[in-house]
Amino acid sequence: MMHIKKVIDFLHSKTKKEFDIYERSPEKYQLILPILHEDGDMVDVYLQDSPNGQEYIRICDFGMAIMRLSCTYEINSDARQRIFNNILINSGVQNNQGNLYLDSTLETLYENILQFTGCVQKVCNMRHWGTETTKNVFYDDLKNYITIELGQFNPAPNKSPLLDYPIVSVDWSLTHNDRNLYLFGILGNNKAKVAAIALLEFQKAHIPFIGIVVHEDMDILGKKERLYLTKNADKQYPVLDDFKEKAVADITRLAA
Amino acid sequence: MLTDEEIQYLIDAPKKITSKHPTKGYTEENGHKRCYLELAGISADGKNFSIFINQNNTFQENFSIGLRYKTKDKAFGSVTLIRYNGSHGETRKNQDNHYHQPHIHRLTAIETKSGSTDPQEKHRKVTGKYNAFEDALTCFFEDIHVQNHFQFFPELRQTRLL
Repeated sequence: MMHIKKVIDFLHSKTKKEFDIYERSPEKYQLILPILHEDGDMVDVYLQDSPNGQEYIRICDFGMAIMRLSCTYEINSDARQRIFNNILINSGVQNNQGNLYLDSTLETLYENILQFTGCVQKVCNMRHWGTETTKNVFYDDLKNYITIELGQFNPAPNKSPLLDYPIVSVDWSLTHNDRNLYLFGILGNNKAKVAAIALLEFQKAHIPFIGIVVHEDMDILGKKERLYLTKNADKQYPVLDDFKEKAVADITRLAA
Repeated sequence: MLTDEEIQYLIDAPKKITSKHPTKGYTEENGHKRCYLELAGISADGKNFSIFINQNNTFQENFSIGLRYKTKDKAFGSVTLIRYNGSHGETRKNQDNHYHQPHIHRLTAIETKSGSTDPQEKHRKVTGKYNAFEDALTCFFEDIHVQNHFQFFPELRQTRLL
């Protein structure tokens, strides 16, 4: 069992009593810290016995971070789940049914408390990361793959195939065997609609092309948007990894 | 960018709940229970609001009930106007030697004009209006003038205990 007096004395010695401990309920000790969220509320951190042995103290939050996050943000897509997982993994923090935790020895408790609170603050501020990070990472990854790995297909960005309708453009134009392949990276419903309209316009203009769509995550699109793209694209990849795995072989075959 | 008067107007505007998720009770996951409400302003010219209600399973006095307003500004999106919190820990001891008190967060013009497109409800005030979760819910619905909350929370019809 954790010797709470030893823990209190240790933290007081390390922090000149800036940290305090309050027994919120039997054997669940809340840390009183001068570490706050953006709205001025204290970050919720608790100490309790670790099931991994007497030499460990469990730093945890009893689900408070995810509860706070859920007020304004849902982890409801693969991309968001990946970001959440990365935050935890990179901080050395684990998740047991919403309870974030980190087991620490007494000697490293102070450093691990700071590590844990940093992780909690990142989780609680995931809304800042979600949209921009996911968007930027996907389009950057797609660009890097196309320019580095698909050089043989002469990739050209932002091409407008219809000379009298330059507003309709493609993300990437590729060529193989004198055949044009027009590629769209899709993240979100709005981009899906724009791509579907472009594909329809090319068909209306009777220009020969092969339409390729690469999704950041096909599952998050609406039903209508998925239908538009399925009806008008020649080839779709539900996630970027799928495209990376098959692009060269598929482009060679499609443009044979 | 909302002024303090506009924020107060939105909080005071009569509202009605148009939907609740889940339709009955609460969702329980990740160590807490929660539900989400959509509301419409009755006199507030088609303004749309939502409410989040969360309560921790381990510490039931740790809850958060908030009113969000869907602005028409794309940059801002939705903002939380006011949030009723239970006692979840303070950095200073209260006079009764406890580290926690119920308190109310509120958005102010200082934050809406700060330049952030995600202004936070930094203004905090300790309150004696409620202690338990159900009392806070009743108080919250009354204070923000929701007219049909008993339809969705019939358990609140019981007399408030204070």
